[in-house]
Amino acid sequence: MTEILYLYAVAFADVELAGPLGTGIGDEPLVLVPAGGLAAVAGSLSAAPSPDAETLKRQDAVVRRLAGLFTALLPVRFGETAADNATLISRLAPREKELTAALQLVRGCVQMTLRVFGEPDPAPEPAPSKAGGPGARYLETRRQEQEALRSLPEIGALSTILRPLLRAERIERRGDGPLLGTAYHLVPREGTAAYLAAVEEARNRIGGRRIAATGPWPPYAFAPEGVS
Amino acid sequence: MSEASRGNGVDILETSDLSLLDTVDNLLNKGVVLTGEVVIGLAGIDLIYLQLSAVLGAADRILPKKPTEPAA
Repeated sequence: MTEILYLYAVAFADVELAGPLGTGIGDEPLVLVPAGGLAAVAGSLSAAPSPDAETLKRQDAVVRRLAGLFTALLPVRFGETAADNATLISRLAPREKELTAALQLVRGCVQMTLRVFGEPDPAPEPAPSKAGGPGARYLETRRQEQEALRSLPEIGALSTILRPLLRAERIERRGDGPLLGTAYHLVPREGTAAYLAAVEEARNRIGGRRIAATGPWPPYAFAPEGVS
Repeated sequence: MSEASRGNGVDILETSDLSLLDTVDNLLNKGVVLTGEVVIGLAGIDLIYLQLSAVLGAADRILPKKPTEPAA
């Protein structure tokens, strides 16, 4: 039977592991596939797994365990496969610089996820741009719209308190339902208790909006998604 | 959406198993993508999720201008 490589995570190649890699979602032994300065954690499966709740929970458990073995680890999105080691290496090679920078960012950190529920603030009128022609003004408006999608001014007081505890932040704003948006925070492993305490402290200072903090998670939201 | 159904939505989001919501969000919507597309099957149907973020524009018209160097 032809087997495929199923990918779980990317790490630095020259890493000292805190323990054995163990097994994956199909109880297959996990291996490190080196590619330059990087290494992928992978296992051999007969087919790509289905995204049912049980399998997702198993993969999350595998990635969580791996995150405890590495000081820097980037989870791979569910369902990523490669035909063989050579294919995997050829995909990692052009991304080495970008993935190395991301690994350096997440080293020693975990992800905390903060969901914000409630009504949005009234949207401010976009500042009129005087410079340029109609095309430039249109693009400037679009830029402001895109920037707004990456911000949650409704929790400004909380953000100010959390900022010194964060190494990085990524915001995804919604606006079409009770979920106003999600802030993904990259926090040093030893800082999660202080983070949760700060969230509790600021809970009543965000204009009656509701917040839910979960974590620590492996740094899923800080893994580069783009294909270069 | 009626107020009643909106209320139910809030209840579900805030009181259900947030860790499962996080697991789904993390695994299916985040993480390193190496192939550019991830094809997953659900109930016998292939679902293709492909996210491309592109900025098309004249950057020099959008970004603040750098001060010009004085001529030597």
